[in-house]
Amino acid sequence: MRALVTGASGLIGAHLVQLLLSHGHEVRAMVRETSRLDALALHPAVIIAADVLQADRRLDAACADCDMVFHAAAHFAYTGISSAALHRTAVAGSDNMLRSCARMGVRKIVVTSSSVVFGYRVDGTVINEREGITNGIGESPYAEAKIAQHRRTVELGDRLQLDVRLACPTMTMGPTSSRLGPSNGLIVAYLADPFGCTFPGGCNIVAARDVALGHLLIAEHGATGESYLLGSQNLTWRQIHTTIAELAGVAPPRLELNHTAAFLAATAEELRGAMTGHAALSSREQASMVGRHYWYSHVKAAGLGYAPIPARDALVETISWLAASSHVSREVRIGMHLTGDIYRFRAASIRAEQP
Amino acid sequence: MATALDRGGLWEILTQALADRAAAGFSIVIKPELAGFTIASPSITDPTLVETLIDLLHDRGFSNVAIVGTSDSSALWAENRDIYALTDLLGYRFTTPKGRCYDIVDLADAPDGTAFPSDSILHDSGISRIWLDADLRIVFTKNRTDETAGYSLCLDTLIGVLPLPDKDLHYRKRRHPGDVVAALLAAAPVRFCLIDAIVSAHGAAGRRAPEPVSTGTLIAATDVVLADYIGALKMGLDPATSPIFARILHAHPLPTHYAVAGKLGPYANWTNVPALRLRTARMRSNADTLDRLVEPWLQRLDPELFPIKHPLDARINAALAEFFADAGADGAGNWLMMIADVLLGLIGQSIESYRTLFNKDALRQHAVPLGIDIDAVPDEAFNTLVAELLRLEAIAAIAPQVSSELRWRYIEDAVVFYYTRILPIDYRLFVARVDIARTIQFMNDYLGGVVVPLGHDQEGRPVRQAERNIYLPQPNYLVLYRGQPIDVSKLEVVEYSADRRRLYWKTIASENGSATHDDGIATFEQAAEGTRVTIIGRQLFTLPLFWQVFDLNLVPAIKSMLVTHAYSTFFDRTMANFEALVEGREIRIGRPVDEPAPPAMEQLMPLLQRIGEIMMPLVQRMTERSGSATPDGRRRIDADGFVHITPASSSPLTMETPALELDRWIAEFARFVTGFRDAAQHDLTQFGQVE
Repeated sequence: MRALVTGASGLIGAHLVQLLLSHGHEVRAMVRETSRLDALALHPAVIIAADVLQADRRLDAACADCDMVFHAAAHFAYTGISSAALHRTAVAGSDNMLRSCARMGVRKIVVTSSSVVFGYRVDGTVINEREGITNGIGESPYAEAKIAQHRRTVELGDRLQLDVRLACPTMTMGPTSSRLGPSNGLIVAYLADPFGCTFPGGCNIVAARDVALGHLLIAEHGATGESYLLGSQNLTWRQIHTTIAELAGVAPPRLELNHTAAFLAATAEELRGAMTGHAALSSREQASMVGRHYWYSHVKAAGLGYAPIPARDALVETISWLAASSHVSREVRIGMHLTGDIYRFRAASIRAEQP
Repeated sequence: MATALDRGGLWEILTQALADRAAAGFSIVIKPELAGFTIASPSITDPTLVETLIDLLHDRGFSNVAIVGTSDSSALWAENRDIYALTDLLGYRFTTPKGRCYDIVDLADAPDGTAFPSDSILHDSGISRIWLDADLRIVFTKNRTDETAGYSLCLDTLIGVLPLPDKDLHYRKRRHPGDVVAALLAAAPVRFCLIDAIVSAHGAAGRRAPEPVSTGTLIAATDVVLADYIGALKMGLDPATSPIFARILHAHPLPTHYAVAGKLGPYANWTNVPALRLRTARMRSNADTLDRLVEPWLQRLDPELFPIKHPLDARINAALAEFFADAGADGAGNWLMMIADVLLGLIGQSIESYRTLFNKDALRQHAVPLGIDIDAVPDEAFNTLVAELLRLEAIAAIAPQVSSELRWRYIEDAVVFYYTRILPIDYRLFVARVDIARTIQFMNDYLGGVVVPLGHDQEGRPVRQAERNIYLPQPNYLVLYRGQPIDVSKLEVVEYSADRRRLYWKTIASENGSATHDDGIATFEQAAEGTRVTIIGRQLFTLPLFWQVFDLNLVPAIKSMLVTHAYSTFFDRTMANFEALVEGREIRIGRPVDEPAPPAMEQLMPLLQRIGEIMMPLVQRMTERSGSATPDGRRRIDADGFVHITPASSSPLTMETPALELDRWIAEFARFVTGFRDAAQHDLTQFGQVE
C-alpha cells in the first residue's frame, strides 16, 4: 500500500511514518518547506515538500497514486499563533487535502482530529463518541479550530463521496518530535516549576506510537464517516504530576492552584516568554482549562484491536527522551534523578535496536 | 637613550644572541605603548624616542627592525584604532628622521593557534609568529599611572602583542592579566625593556585622563618584571599594587642578582591614584559589562582623531569625560566618580550573585593556569597521597550515616564524608561516557580549570596528573556573603581495572585561600544493578567573614543540618551530571571564556529600543492631547534612540502607528482583566458551593 502522511514532521505524523514503514508500506512523508526534518531523519520515507494551505499541483502530485492519505497536518499550540491561523490550517488545510484526494482518486482518508471536539466535563464523567461534537462555547481557539475542522471534514467528505474516517487522539506524548509541543511541554513545565504546582481536573494521556497504531487500525478496520477516540488512561492532574515527579526524581506536587492562581501564573509565564524570547511553557488558554476533566473512553477503538500502553509507560518513554534532549535545560536536568524504570526502558530500547 | 642602552645592557644581549650571524639578518621587534587618544598624548611612548632607538640599532647594523602592536578594546567603540591608523596619527612614519626604514606590523594578522601548550591559559588563543620568531623582543612602554592597577608599565604593555582585539575582555577580565603575561613570557621571553619617563602621565584618573608631568627619566632593564619593579618604586608605589605584578611574581620572580644604576628616589611633583580611588575603580572594573559600557563615556579623547562610533556614546562622552577628567582628590568629580564606581560595582556584584544562584548558564567560565610547579613535585608525592587517602577512606566509611547515601563527620574542623549510590546504568557504558580521569570536572558547579597529564598507562590513559579546579562557592548562597569561588590545585592518581576505576586527589595549593583541604577518592565499580559510584573526601573551605564571625559551631544542630543539606544537594547534582553525560548532554555551566561579546552599547540598545517602543504610544497619546503631534503620523527610532514622527502622507507606512500599538496594549490589558475576573468568579462560585 502507498500512503501519504501530511504533517509528517510532527509528533503523530512522524510516528505514523515510522509505523507504516515498519508494516512494509510505501510512505510519502509530506512536510512544509520550512519544517525541521529531525523526526524523519532515520526513516526511508520519500519526503515531499508541500503545504496543505496551498491548493496547488504539488498537493495533487503528493496525493497521486496513493491508496490512502493520513491527514495529520495541524497547528497544535496554545500560544504564539492567532485563532485565525489555527482555524485556517485546520479547516482550509483539510478542505484542500480532501479536494486534492477527490481529484487524484484517493478514496480513503484518515483525518487526525482531536478528543477536544467531544468537549469536557467538570464532574469527571468519561466521554465517548456517542455524545457527539461539542458546541465549542468557552473552548480555547485550538479546540474551536479542531471542532470546525471535524465538522467540515465530515460534511465535505460526504459531499465528495470520500471514505473519510476521523482519529481523535487525547493528550499525545512521545519522542521524536522536532518541536516540543504542548503535550510534551506539560512535562517540561512541571519539571521546570520550582513550586511543584498542580491543578484540579485531569486529562487522558496516550503514547504517540499508540495513536499512530490507532490511525492504522482505523484505516484498516474502521467505518466510513466514523470518529474514534484514541486515548489511554484518564488521570487527574495531580496523578499526572505525581507520576512525572516519581519518574524524573523531582519533588512531588506541593501546591494545587485554583483558577485565579493558575491564571496569574500563566500570565507571568507568558510575560517571561515575551521578555526572554523563549516559548512560554503555559498560557492563559491552558489556565482556563483548570478544573476541567478531559476524560475519554477508547472502547470504540478497542473494538478495532486498539490496546494502548498505560499512561505511566507513555510518560516513561517521553521523560526518557526529554531528559536527554535540549527541551530540558541543563539546570532542570541537573535537578532530576531518573528512576530505574527510565533506565530499564532505555536498556530495552537499546536491546531492541540491536540486530 | 644611548646611555640607557649601554647601561641597561642591550648591546651585551645582542652580542650574545647574534653569535656568528650577520646583524642585518637579526630580527628585532619593538612593542611601544600606543594607547593614546590625542596627539602627543602623555600616555604613549614618545615616537621620537622609539625612532631614536631604531637609529641606534641601525648604527650597529641591526636594520631588520619592526614596530609591532595590535588594536585594543577601544577599537570596538572608537574609529582609527587599528594599528596602522593609530601609529600614523601618533607620528610613526616607517622612516626615522635619519632616513632609517622600519616596518609597522599588526600582530593580529594570522596568529598561530598552536603556539601555546594545552596547559597554558592562552591555549587556543594564538599569537603572531612575527613576535614568537623574532630574535629579540623589546618592550618600550610609557611611565604612567593607572586607575585600577595603580600603574601601568611594561607588563601591561606586553598584553598588546596578543591578537584578540577586545583585550580588556579576553586578557584582563576573563583571564587574570598576570596569568596572561606569565604565559606570554613563558612562550616568548622579552629580553630588553625601556620605560619612557621623560614626560610621564600621572594623576588619579590614569590613562582615562592622563596629566603630563616632566620626570626626565629613561629606565632600561634586561628583565621585564625588574623594569616594572623599578618603575613602580620611582613612582613611590609598592610594586605589588599592580595585580599583574603581584600575580606574575609566582611564575616569574625578580632576578636574584641585579644592579641599579641611577637614583631610586621618587619623581618630584608626582601624583598617584589615591588608595580609595583605586579601590572603587577596581569595584567598577569587576563589573565587566557595566565597566565596558561606561568606558567610552569617560575616556578623554580628541573626537576629530578618534570619533566615537556610537552617537549616543559620543554625546555622553562629550558631556561627562571632561567633568570626570578633572578629578582632583578634593574635586566634586572625584567623589562623584567614586560613588558611581561603587554603585556600578555593587550592581555588577548583584548581577553575578543572581547568576550564581539562579542563572548559572549566564556566568563566565574561568581560564586559569595550573597553580602547581610540576617540576618541584617529587614522584614520591603520588604514592604518599594514595596511602593517605586510603587511610581517610577507612575513617570516612564509618562516619555517622545521615541518609541512605551519605555519611559524614568532622575531623580537625574538616568534613570527612562518604557518599555512595548505584546508578542503574551499564558499567561499560558508564565508564565509556564518564572519564574517571576527568571526574572532578564533572562535579556540580565546576566553573573552569586545567588538567595536565603527567603519566600514562600502556593504553594511553592518564595515571598521574595535576589539576586546578574552580567551583562556585559551596553552598551557592555564600555568594551573598561575598563568598569566593573555590580554587584548588591538586595532584591526582588514576587507577584502572576490569570492574573498577578510581581517582585519588589531594589539594596542595589554593590560589585564593578558599580551601585548606579538598582531598578525596572517586570510585566507579561494576554492580549487579548497574554502576556504583562512591566518593569519599575531606573538605575544609574558608568561610566568608560573616560566617566566621557568626560562628555556627555554637549551634551545632543547625550547622549539622546545613552541612547535610549542602552535601546532599552537591552529590545529587553531581550524580545528575554523570547521568547527563551518559545521555550525551553538555553539562558545563557558564559561557565559554573566549566567546566574543559585542560592545556594551550594542548589547544595551535592543533593551532601550524595546523600552522606547513600549513608552512611545503613551508619549504619543499625551502629545496628541496637547495638540502638538500628528495623529496619523508614524514614528522611527534612530540610532540615538530619538523618535522621529513623520506625517502619514509623506512616506509609506512601515510600522504600526502609535495609536494601534496603544490599542493593542489596551486590548491586552482588557483581556487580562476579563480573564482574571472569570477565573476569580469561577473560584468564588466553587467556594460558595462548598460553603
